[in-house]
Amino acid sequence: MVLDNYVTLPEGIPVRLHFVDHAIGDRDVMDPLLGFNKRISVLTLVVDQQDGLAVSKVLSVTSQNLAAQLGAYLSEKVYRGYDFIITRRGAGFNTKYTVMAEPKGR
Amino acid sequence: MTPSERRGKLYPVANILSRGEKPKVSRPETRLIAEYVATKFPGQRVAMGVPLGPAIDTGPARLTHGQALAASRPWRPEVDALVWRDGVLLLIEAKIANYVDGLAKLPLYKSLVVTTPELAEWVSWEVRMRLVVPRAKAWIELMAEAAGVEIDLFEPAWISDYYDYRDRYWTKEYRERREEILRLRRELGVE
Repeated sequence: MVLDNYVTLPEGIPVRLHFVDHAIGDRDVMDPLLGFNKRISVLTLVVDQQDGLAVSKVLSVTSQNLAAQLGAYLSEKVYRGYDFIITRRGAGFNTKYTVMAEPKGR
Repeated sequence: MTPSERRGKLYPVANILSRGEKPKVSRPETRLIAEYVATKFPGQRVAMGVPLGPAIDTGPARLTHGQALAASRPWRPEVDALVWRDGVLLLIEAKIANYVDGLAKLPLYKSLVVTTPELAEWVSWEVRMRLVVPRAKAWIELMAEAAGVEIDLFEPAWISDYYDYRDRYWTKEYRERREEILRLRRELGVE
């Protein structure tokens, strides 16, 4: 059974998302390398459309880089007027993101 | 108690050497370019971190076009931002410190647009180049003009804290105090 509550960004494949809300908060996670619990900051975005289909999911952003790219659109929830096409490239510390902001409806 | 206050309490010499609390700005150039495109091009299509140029030669491996582009990821340069507007592709680099690096990259990036598979649809569009910097320097404007690059000044409020922290290191007062501390350390044999 796959619950599919979270948006995953497969490597090299653009994913079109529309966000309707967001929050920034702390989350306790286990360090994957050393196995201890730590508290990290997470930007969580509520997604109502993924690749043109209606969904009810969240995108959890822990990458500082991706958070900085999306951060400029958080004020007054400006992101509601855009579709974001996010392409993840690489993994781990080498992960980079191409983020395209396209006005909604284009 | 802030980390720098804690350091100062444990190691009093740190109070003298401290440049103050480091500004809480992570990925400043990513933040600068994101705020720039969101502010200057509202309601327009923009992209950040755009790879340029063709896929690398993958030799005898039979890869799909997408796989070849993925394999090329570490090798393809990326422009900070790309804006589509009225028949013009605008390549943008944002720099906080090394202005010349941004300026030097842009003409090279422009030369790659025609061979970038993801931009094939817009290959007939005019390509312009823009360097975004927070503060003007006379020499960069002269160099930009020679390179055919536009300069746009964009200084969000948080940049001042970042520059103040960075610039303190280069002040005569800070350097003299640092030299004095290092001299005392040597004379007292303290490491």
